Amino acid sequence: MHPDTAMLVAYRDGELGERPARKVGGHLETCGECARALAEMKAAWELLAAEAGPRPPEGPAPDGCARLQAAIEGWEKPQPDPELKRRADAHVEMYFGSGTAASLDAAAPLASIEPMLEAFLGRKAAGAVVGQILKEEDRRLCPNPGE
Amino acid sequence: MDSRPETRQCVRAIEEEVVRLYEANSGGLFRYAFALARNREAAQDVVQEVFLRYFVERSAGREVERPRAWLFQVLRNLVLDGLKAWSYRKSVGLGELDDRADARQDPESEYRVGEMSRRLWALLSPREMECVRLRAEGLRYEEIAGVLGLRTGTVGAMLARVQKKVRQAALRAPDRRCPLAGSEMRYAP
Repeated sequence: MHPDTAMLVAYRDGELGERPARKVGGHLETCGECARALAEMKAAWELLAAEAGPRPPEGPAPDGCARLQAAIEGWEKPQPDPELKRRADAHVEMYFGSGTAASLDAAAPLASIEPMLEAFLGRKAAGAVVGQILKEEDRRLCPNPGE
Repeated sequence: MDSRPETRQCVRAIEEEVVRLYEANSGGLFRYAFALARNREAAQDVVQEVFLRYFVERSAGREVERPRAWLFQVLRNLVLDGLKAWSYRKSVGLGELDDRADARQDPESEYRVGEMSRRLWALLSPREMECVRLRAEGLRYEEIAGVLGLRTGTVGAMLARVQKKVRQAALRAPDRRCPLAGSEMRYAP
């Protein structure tokens, strides 16, 4: 049986799984019709890819990477309000013991609190809790992601 | 920036990761941004912004599972948000924005669309066109699905449909040549 267009396109794009790819490859060796169809598809793709533009007149600015590095160097990690941080630290130490707040990264509290949660809940549950918090945060920051 | 030595080391490692990603992907991201925004400067800015956001994301301790798909997805959202803001300022309806984003006819733009591209764009839907663009930048089906918010199977089906459309158009063409170019590509009768 001949592979259909979708299968040949996926084969052309290297997106077939190993076994189906072997099967199609074997078929192509014996079937001139399908081999021709695949050659056409490859040629059509060359044109499509070249014309998927509009193409910019030239590439990105040559100093782009240096500018990016400068922007990174100049980037300040957001620092929390000291009073808020003191209160948050007090809460953390209340639950996780004294000294634990120091190991909290204020800019990434969730990432640093996850190992502590793991000790109580186990790895899977701690991951689920943190995932849920992140999802809620995303929803709060971006209430309508589809728009 | 935090001056603790272990943090500095961590920031340095993330910075190197960002530079590696920039070197590998900035060209493709720039072309994609340009295709969406039609403006060289805006495309350049948005590429910078996307990499800075990647750095911030990683600095906040978050893992990015598929960095290339992440970069394309964030870039696409930034450009589309920018276009929406532009349409709002100019009181252009979002329906018209589709045409603008597609810019099939935009006399003011800084590029000229060739005849071949025009025929190709008329053939494909904007979604299909985006699939083709992302694939042309080397993204896997799974990554394209992530960028466009589709299922991986849908991307495969879409690219197969693109292939069928191109073939149909070629068969309709009077001289049986590919309608997309004056190429010598012939289709079997």
